[in-house]
Amino acid sequence: MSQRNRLASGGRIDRSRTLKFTFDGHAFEGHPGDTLASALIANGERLVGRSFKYHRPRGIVTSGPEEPCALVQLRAGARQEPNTRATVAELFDGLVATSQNRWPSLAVDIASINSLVGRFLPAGFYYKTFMWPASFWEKVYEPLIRRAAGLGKAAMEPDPDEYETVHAHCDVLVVGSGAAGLAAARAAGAAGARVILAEQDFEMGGGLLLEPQHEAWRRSMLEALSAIPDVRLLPRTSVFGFYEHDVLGAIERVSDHLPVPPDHQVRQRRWTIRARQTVLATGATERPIAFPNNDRPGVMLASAAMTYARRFGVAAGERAIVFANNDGGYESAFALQDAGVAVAAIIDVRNKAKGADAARDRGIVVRLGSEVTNVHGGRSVSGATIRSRNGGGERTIDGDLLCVAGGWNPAVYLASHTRARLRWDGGLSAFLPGTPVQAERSAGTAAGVFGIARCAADGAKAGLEAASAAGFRDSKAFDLPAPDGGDADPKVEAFWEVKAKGKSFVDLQNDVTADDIRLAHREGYTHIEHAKRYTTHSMATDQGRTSGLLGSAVLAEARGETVQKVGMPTYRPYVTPVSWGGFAGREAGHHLAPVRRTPLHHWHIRNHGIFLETGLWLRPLYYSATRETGWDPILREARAVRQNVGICDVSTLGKIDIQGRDAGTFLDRLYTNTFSTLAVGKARYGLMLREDGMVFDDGTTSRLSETRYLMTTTTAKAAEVLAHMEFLHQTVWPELDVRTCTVTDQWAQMSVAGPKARLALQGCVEGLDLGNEAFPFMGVGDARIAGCPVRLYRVSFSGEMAYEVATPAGYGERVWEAILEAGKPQGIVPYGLEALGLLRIEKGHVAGPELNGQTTAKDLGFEKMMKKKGDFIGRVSAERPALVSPDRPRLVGIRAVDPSFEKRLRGGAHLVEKPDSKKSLGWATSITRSVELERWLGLAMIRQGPERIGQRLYATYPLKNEVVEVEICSPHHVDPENLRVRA
Amino acid sequence: MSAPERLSPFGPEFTPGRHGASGGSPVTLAERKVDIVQVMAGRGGDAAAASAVGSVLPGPGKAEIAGSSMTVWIQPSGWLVIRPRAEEGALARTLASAAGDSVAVVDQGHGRSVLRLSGPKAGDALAKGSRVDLHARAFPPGSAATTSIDHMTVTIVKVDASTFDLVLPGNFSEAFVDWLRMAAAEFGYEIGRPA
Repeated sequence: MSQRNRLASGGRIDRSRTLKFTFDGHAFEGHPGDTLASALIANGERLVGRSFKYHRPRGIVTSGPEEPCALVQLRAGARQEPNTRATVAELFDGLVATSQNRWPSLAVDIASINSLVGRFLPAGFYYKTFMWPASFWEKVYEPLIRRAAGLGKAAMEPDPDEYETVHAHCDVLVVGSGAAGLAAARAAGAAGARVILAEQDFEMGGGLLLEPQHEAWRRSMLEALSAIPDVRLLPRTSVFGFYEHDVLGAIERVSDHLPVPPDHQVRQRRWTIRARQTVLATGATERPIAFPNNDRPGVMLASAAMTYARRFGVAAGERAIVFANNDGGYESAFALQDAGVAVAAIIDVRNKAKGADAARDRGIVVRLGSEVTNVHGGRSVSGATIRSRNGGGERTIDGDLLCVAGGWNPAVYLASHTRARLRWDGGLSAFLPGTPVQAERSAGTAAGVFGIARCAADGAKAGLEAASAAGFRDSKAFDLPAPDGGDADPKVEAFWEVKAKGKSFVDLQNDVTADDIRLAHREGYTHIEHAKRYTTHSMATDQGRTSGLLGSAVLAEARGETVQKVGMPTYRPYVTPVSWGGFAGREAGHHLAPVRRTPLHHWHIRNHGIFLETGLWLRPLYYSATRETGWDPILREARAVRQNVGICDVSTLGKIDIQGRDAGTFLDRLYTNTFSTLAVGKARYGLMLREDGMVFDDGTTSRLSETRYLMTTTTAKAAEVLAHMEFLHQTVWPELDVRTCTVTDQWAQMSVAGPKARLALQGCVEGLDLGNEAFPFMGVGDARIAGCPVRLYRVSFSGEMAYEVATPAGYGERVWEAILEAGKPQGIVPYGLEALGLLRIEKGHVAGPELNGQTTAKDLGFEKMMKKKGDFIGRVSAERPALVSPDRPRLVGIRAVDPSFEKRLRGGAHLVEKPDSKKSLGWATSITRSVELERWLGLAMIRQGPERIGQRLYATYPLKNEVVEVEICSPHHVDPENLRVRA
Repeated sequence: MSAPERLSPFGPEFTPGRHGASGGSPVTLAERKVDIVQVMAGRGGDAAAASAVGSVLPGPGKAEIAGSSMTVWIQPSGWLVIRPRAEEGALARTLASAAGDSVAVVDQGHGRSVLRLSGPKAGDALAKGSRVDLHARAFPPGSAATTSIDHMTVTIVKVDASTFDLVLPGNFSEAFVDWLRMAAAEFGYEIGRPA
């Protein structure tokens, strides 16, 4: 029968609608309002997983996010998701779930033999066993362990869903929407504070969801909160971390409850919340008691069994045995009985219990001063052995559900993230949040307050205080639920473990037993942090939320000290697991970083530019309609420049506007050479050093007026150079009258280069005489092309006669096309980054590979650019002995002796004297095929380089077994006299 | 001589139309056709700058908005002057000659772009990338903040309760819209004509 454990009535599920789902291929049904766990229980499914180490059968232990055992794989294909807690997975129609960590099937799991050899798998087993031989770890042990212990499996396909991040600010953040949370949010909201109320569940209400008599109040609170514009309700949102400066992280499961996210909606959204004040109304989780075989499917926290009955209308068993050390167990027992579950007995470790008489009035057997010493049944509980704590009276009770009420752990996790110390409460035998460190306060059960009415009052008080601390002091009163007198006394007897033979688990997810903790203690791991790491206790994805304290208590007993003294291991984010998608947000794939496009980007696309990412920029490498690869298109473009004329997009160069009466002085201090003497309307090549004397950047800087310069930088260093200038101006030379700003984006800039460059430009430039005398090398002038304002700079990177044409970005395409049109008779072609590189290497201009932060001006042959008079950044450091040592590698040219492209040179090749020599004299920095000399050539940094000009060396590249004979020469392979640029 | 029409920095795909989720009130985005000039006063140059700009120069975190013109504080003694688009370069020339030597005037009309974002959900879309608190109490109309959104430097100016002008680096204009399309998709968005 379908849903055989579903109660006829009650709960918050919608029985009028049926949802179909499968678990391990079996078809089941549930209802809206179910979790996967409640639906599985409704269908009588007990066994839902195998444990991590011993592969023991495991069932559902809790009804919330603290679940240690019921970890399942959700969905299939690209959307499959491992290690999901069935207790928080909202049921939807068509959900596919599978069990994990079992082979070949859940019922018959071969690795469960680990359970029989368990005594050979003690704590620290891996540390002790897989030590030797060392080489076996990577190849044998680790893969073996991973296969055996692996929980779920990740999808191999890319995630088809989208994730995003969002920032939120509020006066008061309330975490948790139980009675305390609702009241806190209402109080703060009514005071006018901006409030965010985050609830991990899909229904707001927390413990109120189990209390039909308070349903009207819950609804009225939610209606009132929805009506306040500055209150934001975030259901399905887990606050996972409390960070410095009152920043909290939360993950909203926007579409996890749907088969596929709706159109234009994300799967999950990660919130970064900056809260002025935070109220932590996170409630408490019930904790278990350690006793032999306390992990059998059917052993459940008493509150969880009550939740399944009251909220989900499901009987977690037919005949329940309740094992308690406090009155909470009685409340659960009564709830189960009211739901029609037979209660076989209440086993109470105490000798006196307030609820005992009421239980007996209900016909329930109560055994005071007793304990459970064993659980019967393998894949499902069939009964328990009990005995008197005084010894004797051992007997067996039949039952298929063992409910454990071991006391309550207030959810102190977020408070602990702030480094607020924990405070021991002897009555509750639990840790409570201590004195706040950040702007937070705990309220309700999280602060050790029990009962709906008391929690609501405590929450309202906390909400008011938080609002007041945020500056909102006038709140409006609202109704709170009346105390109903039926609340159980939360006091517990500090009873943690039944001393009897068998595996008594303290950590169900990592399979840690009480004996493991004692073993850690015997072996010297007596500090809780050491015992935790040695045994892996409370290190699983549930972070020991149910049983962490149990481990501390067992260790305390072994040490002969109090639990308070032993303490808890430090809680750190994340309170609950968060998916990678939530962290990546939108920054996945090509959205990892924004794309920076030049003003000519779309022209390049339309004209077959093949792009390369250079930093954030996309730049055309070369142009090819047939998408050729290899050198052909590069050589074609470079030859066009050497023989005729080419045009290249150089908009990526950094451009900095510098103005002020002291602009010239400022530049003189920045550059190794002088700019204050530069004539208006002229450009000059400049070299900049870092403070440590190494070359920082280079480029041409032009003087536009007496008080205004335009600096160009390399593409890579544009932002760094501007920051360098701003730093120096603000901190070192504030007295200088100078102002700087970037104008990189203002201009589209193109280099027109080649012996026919002037001819081509003369066909389109208006308002400027381009004759060599009127507009010589290093001239700067304004003109118009196609009606657009342009500025021409007669500078050259290729070594050919060249002009850089700058125009406001929005006119870039128009000017570029006008030049192409005008240059048609000269055979103009566009050229890309590869040809640009080829040409500059041939010419011997340095770029990134030479300006690598480890070269000095002298290394690069720029010593004459170091002005004799006047200081400049880097001057002193550049004169340190090591930086002027004659042994430093210096820049030279190298070219293959063989005049062909047969044997290639490579960047990074080492220069040696004999082909088989291991003594490197230096290395090749930049290498290219040459269109000018029709062979491989390049630039190199070689010890005593300039003295070796004329020598023959060997460029060796051992990784590819290549040795090429080269001649050392001037770096200027093309036109060393620099005549062409002045033609 | 006036220059020809310029290409939009937002690229060829930024054309009028409705995208993303349907219904509700979409976020609208449109390029603003403006001139933008960066004004940087030297020591003691604030008065000259104010007189050249012809209005009160706003302090840190503020923008002075008058109709479709605005002056936005972007740095100590530094502002962006934004006016409806007129003759190419004219605004920069006028301001430079009016302000004199103590003020640096730099034309950024092509170096920056301005995107107008409006609708009740405009702030919610921005919050997906901006850490700035855009709530009316923290950021009333006339507020301005320069921040980083998806690694891009963006100056956010609040024009009215549901309207923002975003000043973007010209070369990142397309990339910013790429990001904004994703951020606004759940609300639906409408690209309007440049204005």
